[in-house]
Amino acid sequence: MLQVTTLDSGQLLACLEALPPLDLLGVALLRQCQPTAGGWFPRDVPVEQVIQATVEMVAYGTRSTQASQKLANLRPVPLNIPVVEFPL
Amino acid sequence: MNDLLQTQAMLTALLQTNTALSLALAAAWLDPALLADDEDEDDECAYTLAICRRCFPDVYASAVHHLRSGVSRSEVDRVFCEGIGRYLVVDVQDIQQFQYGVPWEALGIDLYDQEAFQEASPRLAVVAAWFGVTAEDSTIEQARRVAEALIKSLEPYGETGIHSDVASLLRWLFGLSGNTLVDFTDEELYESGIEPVPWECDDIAFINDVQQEAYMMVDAATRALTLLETNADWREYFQQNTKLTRRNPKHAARLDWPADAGSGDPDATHADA
Repeated sequence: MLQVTTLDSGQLLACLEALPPLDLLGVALLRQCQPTAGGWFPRDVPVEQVIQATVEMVAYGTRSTQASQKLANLRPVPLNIPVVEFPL
Repeated sequence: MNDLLQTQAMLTALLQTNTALSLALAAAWLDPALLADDEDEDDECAYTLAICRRCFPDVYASAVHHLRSGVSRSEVDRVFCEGIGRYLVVDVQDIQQFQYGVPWEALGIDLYDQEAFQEASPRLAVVAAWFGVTAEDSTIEQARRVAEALIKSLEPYGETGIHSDVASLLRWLFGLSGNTLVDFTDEELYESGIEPVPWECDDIAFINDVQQEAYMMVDAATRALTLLETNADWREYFQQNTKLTRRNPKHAARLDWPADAGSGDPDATHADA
């Protein structure tokens, strides 16, 4: 009898949510540097660091967009199919 | 600090206690064009910002930083031109250029407009005259065939050195290089209905390669032009070989060319030697 191990979308979501947050420089800079009064963002961060953080943030955003597009179009993938003839 | 500012400071602090909100705040700070419509070509600044975000993230970062600092629009335009210019072979002077795709510089010669050609390129006009080029289309086609034969006779001397430079001069003058930017003028390319080159990393690399090759060919051609102007021996050989080939194209197979003084190769006096 065919036995197939599956992972439904809810389990996949839980799996993704369990991932630890990525250590992004931009987020770290926001924590380290307090914004000026009345502002949302810090102003005393060296330009080089801001540029480095932006490049990282854009790359992260691009990767995230690509990953979400792939996940949105994910086809069912059988994880375990005990069919002996399959390799033949 | 008044209540309003205190509330805002508290909200900012609270945003940072949540991972997703903290990430959203960082994205709003560093990547404000994340959700922008990058197809809006009417807004030069937004359009260029979107190009930079996709292809030149460091220029994007620098531009965002300058925009946040409240510098003038012309200063931001300068950041765009200098930043993107670092990634292109061709010079960029104006942010408006970016709306027409990856910029390029066509270096071709239009022999069909003799008046403009002689005015814009008097040095090349001297060489063209040796081929009997006039305003008549037929003379240009005939000269092109002679140039092809001469190029063939120069090819055995190798891909570097003065013989190669002279071949480049002929290819440039008569549009025979195979490189679009060497063979066509800006006007000819626009009239041909060429599509703007999209701002994609692969296309930028491709245009850079083509432009780099075009500049190298024209540099080589200019070296050859200077040689023909300053070296009587080479000029005499060139004129004589051109005359012989115009009279009978079959002569091109047996043409002699002077040795390349720089190569020191004694066998370079004749391809079949």
